Amino acid sequence: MKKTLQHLSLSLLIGLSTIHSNHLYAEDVISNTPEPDQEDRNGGFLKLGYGYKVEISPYADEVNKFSMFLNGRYQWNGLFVEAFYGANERNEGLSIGYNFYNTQDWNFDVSTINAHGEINVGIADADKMLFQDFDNTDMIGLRATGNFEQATVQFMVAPYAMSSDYDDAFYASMWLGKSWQVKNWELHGSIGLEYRSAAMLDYYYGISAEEATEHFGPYEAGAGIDVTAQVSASYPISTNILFETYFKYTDFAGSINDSPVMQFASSFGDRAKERTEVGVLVSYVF
Amino acid sequence: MNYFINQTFIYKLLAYIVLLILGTGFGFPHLSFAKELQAQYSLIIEPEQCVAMRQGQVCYVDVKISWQAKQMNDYCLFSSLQPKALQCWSNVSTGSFQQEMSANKNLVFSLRKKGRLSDLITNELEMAWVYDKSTRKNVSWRMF
Repeated sequence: MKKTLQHLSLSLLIGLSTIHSNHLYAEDVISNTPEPDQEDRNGGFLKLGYGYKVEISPYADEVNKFSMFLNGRYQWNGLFVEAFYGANERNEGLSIGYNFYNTQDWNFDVSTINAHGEINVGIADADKMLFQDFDNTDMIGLRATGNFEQATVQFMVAPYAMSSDYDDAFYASMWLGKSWQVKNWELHGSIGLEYRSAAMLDYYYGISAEEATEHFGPYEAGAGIDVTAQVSASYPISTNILFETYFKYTDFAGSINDSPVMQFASSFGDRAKERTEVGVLVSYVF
Repeated sequence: MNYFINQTFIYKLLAYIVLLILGTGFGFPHLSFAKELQAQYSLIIEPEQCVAMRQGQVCYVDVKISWQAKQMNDYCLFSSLQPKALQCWSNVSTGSFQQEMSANKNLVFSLRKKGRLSDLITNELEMAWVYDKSTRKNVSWRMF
């Protein structure tokens, strides 16, 4: 069922991208608008939010509290820095990059990406301890983003790990987002697929024969795709203040869910196999 | 002969200066008359601003307009959206109007005497937004 869902999402995303590409080609033929140069693209935004967030995932205890949200981006002569911590946008932390080529509707960047977060787990099983203590995997890759009226598509391929304790890390993602205006509300829906190589997932979720304990046997994780869907609604209270609400759901790759550690973690307390996040907040846009 | 030409030139110059002074002189009373006219009328729009998410988007607003005149007469309220009057009143000195409107440019409202083309007073509802067009081009890929 999970694989069917993932394949369906992938096909849908590729299909929609193709439709958009054809549409774009027709527009390109007609339009002769000069491209803005790098200096015209200088600038950005910073959005600070405060609101209530509920997050349930296998990685941490349930979050159910008031939280701060920060989202921002600034570009200068092609160089950019992005900081995305929760709320209405994707939750990818801090990344830097260079926007090296643009067309009327597409932006091409070299960018860093936090391809996997850190994991710190220590489980005492009978007379043996199982430690899973792994740092972030920060990678560098190519990113292509297309903006078409109310739709955005983004592809990223990151083959280089900037620092990792393992080889053959590979990350790729595809996102499709679309927004609708209903009166002064902006409704947004997006779906994203994130692929992580077997080497990466095995590093975080695999258990070697030496590490294995009585209840956590050896496990080798294969490559996998996380599927994330999100819907959100924003309302401009003033030119600087937004009311926002969002719902995010992530179905993790089978090789993550099948990991003995993750199976144990997801059954622990209020945790769950999937990540679900809901938030209501007020943001100030600088 | 030269003397005559120079004299004509000076006369012409003086005539221009006099005309300029007279023109300016007539202009000021005309302006002050307009100010007096404005002072006789009030046109209040609520809210003063309609905020959309992005520049260029159509903004929806429930506009409440109230106007007042010192003299009773037949008045009509107009907007920049349409040549036809939004509403007309007969033999009154105050009026109010409420309607949901949508626009992507500033809306100008004006009060006129019925059957006249000149505005007695005008006021503007400003269109505003959170993200301007250039911002969107740069950031929309993360605004999922």
